[in-house]
Amino acid sequence: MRILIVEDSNVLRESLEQGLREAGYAVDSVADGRRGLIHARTTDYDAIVLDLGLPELDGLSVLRTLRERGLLTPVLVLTARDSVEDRVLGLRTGADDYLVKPFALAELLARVGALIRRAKGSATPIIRVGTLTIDTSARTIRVGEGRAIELAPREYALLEYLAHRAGRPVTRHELEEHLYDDRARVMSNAVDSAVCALRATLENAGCPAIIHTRRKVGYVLSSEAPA
Amino acid sequence: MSIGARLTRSLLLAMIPLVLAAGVGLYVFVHAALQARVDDALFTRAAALSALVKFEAGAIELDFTAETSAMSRHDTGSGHAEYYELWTLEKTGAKTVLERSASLGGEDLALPPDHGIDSVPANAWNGPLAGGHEGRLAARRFTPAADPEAEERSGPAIRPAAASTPEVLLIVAQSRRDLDRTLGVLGAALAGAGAVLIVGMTIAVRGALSRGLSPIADLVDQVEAIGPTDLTARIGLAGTPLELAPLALRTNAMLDRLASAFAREKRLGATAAHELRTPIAEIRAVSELALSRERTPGEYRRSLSTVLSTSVRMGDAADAILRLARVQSGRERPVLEPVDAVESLLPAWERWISPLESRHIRVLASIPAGTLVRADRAMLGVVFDNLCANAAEHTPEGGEVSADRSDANHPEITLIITNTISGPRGDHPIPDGTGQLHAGLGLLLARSMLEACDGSLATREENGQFVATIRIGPVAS
Repeated sequence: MRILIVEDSNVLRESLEQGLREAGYAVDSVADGRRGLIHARTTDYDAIVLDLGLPELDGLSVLRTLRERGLLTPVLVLTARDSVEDRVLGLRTGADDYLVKPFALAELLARVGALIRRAKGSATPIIRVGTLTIDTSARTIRVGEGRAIELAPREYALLEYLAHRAGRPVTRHELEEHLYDDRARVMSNAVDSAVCALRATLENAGCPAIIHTRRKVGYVLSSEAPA
Repeated sequence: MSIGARLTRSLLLAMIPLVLAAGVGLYVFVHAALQARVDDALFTRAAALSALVKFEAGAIELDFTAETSAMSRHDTGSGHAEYYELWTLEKTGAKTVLERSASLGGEDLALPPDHGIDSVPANAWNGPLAGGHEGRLAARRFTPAADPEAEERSGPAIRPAAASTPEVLLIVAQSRRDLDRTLGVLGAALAGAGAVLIVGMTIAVRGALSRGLSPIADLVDQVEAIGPTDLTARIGLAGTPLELAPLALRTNAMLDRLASAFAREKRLGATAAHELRTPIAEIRAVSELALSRERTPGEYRRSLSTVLSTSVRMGDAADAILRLARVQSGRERPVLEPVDAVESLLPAWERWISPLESRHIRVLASIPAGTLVRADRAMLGVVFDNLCANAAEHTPEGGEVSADRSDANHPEITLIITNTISGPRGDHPIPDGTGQLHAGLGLLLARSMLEACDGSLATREENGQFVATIRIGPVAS
């Protein structure tokens, strides 16, 4: 999952970036509204964390422009303005959630996770594909009734992304865009390598093959073997 | 109790006694006038009868034939009957009835209880008449005149004459019935007219007060329409009476000041929230992140260093907010004196702007030496410090910062600090409600301090530059 942070405070932006990265997200961050708008319009993010008090172009204007141009990426507004009027204005402008500074990092991670889940059309944090169970809130996976399987953050992000689109093919380009941020040096076969590693981990845990390759398309997560 | 009710009560309490006094006075006057007319008639009658009493041949002779024809009957209740009674007064003090009118029916007319023959009252008085009804009486004591022609006549005297002319007491009377009836009608008419007048006055006073107080009611309605949270409503001045216009004007001015104060407070609140909540969020995020897993000593050191520097910044922000609150509330008052603008700018310029040259930022200062302004020296230093810090923070590498003086078409001294900004903002203004750009705490503080020094600070963004224009009064020549 790839997140965009638009926050002018260097300390806060870097902390959020690190926290989200350690939680397994690919993260891009910018310090002003103008660049935030450019990033949001040119990259398919899974969620945007947007501060309101920004130089260049304020957060509400960024949000308004995104919605006017039909971009439906979930937006978590981050602000020091805590009045009811400010919250209502932010939500009416198109924000999906509102978090007032100061906040707990854990709460921000939980809200971002919930936003992504809702955007993918899932009301529950549990995704089941065959015998595989993915708890997106606890970020754990199990095979059958077995114990939780340890996955590297990148592997987990790949599995969750495929799980949200279970049964549908996902292109390599899409996976690359959602799993790697601007800082990552992505090799041409990075996605294939990550899929290979994930398959091996799942197989070692006793999970049947559920990640299938679609030639010249990409990958599909399904409990049924392709025809 | 409403003002209308109070005024109505006060006016009626003042006017009703006047009406009652006027009615009573009129009644007393008419009563006295009518009674005086009756009394005059009685005394005239007494004088006429007296003239008919003669002393001749040692006896008193009466010739009331013509005069008493009208008195010769009893009063039958018409009230028009008249009465008289005539006594001779002997030197011995005895009195003898000589004649009385037939209307008396043989009864006497009495003098007032506190008067006797020796003290006949000069004025008329009220007393009982025959038949039991009240009458008006008048008395006259006199000595009948001698009749010189009587000696030549041989007719007999009516009464044997005494050795000398005796005195005579004549009492005439008239029923009060007509007078009392007239006075009764007058009293009733006055009472009725008074009641009607009081009722009419009450209605008229209430109506007049209602019309007169309607502008106050309108004013109250307009004031009531101003909600506790809505400071945009104002009192309309059209049609407001002259007496209330100052009140409406002052109220509107007060609302303007309140709205301005609320807007300033809101701006300060928003700025303070941003300036304080953001560093708290930074400290919390850095701390939580550091504690979320085992870190290297270097990572912990960096986290602590960030927490420390953020705490210092938060302390500076708290100081600035407190100082801003003191300036805006008037507790920190400026000491206005001649200040050299260049000398005041120099410390801030050297602290914030001069180091920018190492970042390939062009620095230009062209304020003439000896530019004297009238300001508080310390406050002007804070203003320049904040503007320079703002310029240093937002000027990108390769940009430019300049300070100029431009007084064209303006009576005040105008200093302009300009810095390049990183790029166009697009079509969307910053919706902070102030109409100002870069409206951080520093600029808010600078603006408040300049206003306290009777100056102003305007900021704008044009052609990729942020322009801060300071206007401040010159030193009087």
